[in-house]
Amino acid sequence: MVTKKGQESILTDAPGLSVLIMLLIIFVLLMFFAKSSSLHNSKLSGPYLESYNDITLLNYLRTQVEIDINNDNKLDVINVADLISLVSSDEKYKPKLIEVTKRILENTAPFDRSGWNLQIEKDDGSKLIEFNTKPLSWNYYSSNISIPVRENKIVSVKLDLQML
Amino acid sequence: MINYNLIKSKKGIFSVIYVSLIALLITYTTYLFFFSEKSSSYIKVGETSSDVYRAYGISEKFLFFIDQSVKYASFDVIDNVRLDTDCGFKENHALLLLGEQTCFLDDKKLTSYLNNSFNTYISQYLGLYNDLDLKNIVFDTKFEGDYIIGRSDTIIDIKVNNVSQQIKPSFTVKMDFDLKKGILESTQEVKRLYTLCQGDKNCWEINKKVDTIVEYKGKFFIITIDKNIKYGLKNKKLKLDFGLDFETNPLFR
Repeated sequence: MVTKKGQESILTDAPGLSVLIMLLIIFVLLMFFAKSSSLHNSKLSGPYLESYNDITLLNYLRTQVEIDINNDNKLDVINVADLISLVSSDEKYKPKLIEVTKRILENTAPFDRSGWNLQIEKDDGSKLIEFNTKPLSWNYYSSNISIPVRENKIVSVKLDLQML
Repeated sequence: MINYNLIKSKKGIFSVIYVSLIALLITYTTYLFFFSEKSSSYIKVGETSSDVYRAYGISEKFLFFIDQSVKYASFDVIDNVRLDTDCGFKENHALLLLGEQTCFLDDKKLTSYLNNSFNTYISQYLGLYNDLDLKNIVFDTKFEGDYIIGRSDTIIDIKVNNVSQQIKPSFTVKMDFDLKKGILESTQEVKRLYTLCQGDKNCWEINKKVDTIVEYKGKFFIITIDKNIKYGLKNKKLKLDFGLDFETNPLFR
C-alpha cells in the first residue's frame, strides 16, 4: 500500500497542474490574438505607409518619359501625368502609357516582388487603363490622386501597393 | 479505486480551489488588459509626426494638381489668345487699327491681359479638385522670360487631427519661350509695317518678313505671324493674328 502522503499529492496536484496548463494555453492564445489585434489597430504604421504610397504614386506621375508625340522623329520629354492627359484624348498613346507604367512600377522595390494594382479612371467612370498584377492580400494600402487633363477634365489614379 | 478519505483532506481541496481562482483571475485581468477599450490600446508615440507626414502628403497632392493645372491653363491662354485691345474685334481677330485709331499693345496692358486670361483658365481646372476647395484661389501672375510665376495670398488650410498646415500656393513653370515678348514683338512688327505702308498693299508685300502672312479683304487686313515656337503637349505652332480695319481711314489707298 502506498503511503497516504503520496496518494494525496497525486490526487490534489493533478487537477492543479491541468488548470495551470490550461491557463498557459489560454495565455498564449490571448497573447497571439492581442498581437494580431494591435497590428490592425495600430495608428502608427497606417498613416506612414499611406503617405509612403502617396509619394510612390506622385513619383510615378512625375517621372519624365520620352515620347515622339507628333511622329516627327523627335523625342519630346513629358511626365507620366501629361502622358495620361494625352491618352484621355487619344488612345494611340495608350501602349506607351502601359509600357512606361510597367517599367516604373515593376522596378519599384519592394512592389516588384509584393505586387501592385493600378487603375486610371475618367470622371465619367470609364477606365483608361487597369493593371492587376497579383491578387493582393489584406495588408495592402491604397492611394488615390486626382489629376487634371486637357480640356478641363479630371482623371483619378488609384494605386494599390502590397506590403510585405 | 479512489480513496474518498484522501480527497476529503482539507489541504488538497484548498490547493485546487486556490489554483482555479488564481487562473480565473489572471485570465480575466489578461482579457481586460488586451481587449478593453482604453487609450493604451493604441500606440501614441509618433502620432503627431505621422499626422504631419499625412498633412504633407495631402499638400503634395494638391500642389501637384496646381502644377499640372498651371501648365494646361497656360496652353489654353495661348490656344485662345484674344488680345483685349481698345479697338475690339472683327471676324474674331483682335484689331490693332480701327479707322484712324491705333491700339498697339504696351507691356502693362499685355501683362494685365495675360494675368486675367490665365486666372480665368486656371480657375476652371482648380474647380475640378474635389478634396480641397481650390476654386477661389487667385494668382498674381508674372510672365518673366521663359517662366510663368504665380503667387497667391489665399491660404489653404490642411487639418489632420491636431495638426494644421497652412499653405499659400505658388508656382513657377518653364515655358521654353517668352510668350509676352513674342506677342509684343509681333505687335511691334505690325506697327512698323503700318507706319511704313499705311494701307498700301504693295508696300506691305515688299516690306513684310517671311514669317508674316497678310490676307487682304478689301479694307480689312488680317496679319498672321508665325513665331516659330511650339507649345502644348502636341507641339502646336504659335501663330498670332491681328486685324487692321481701314474702313474709315482716309489714308487707305
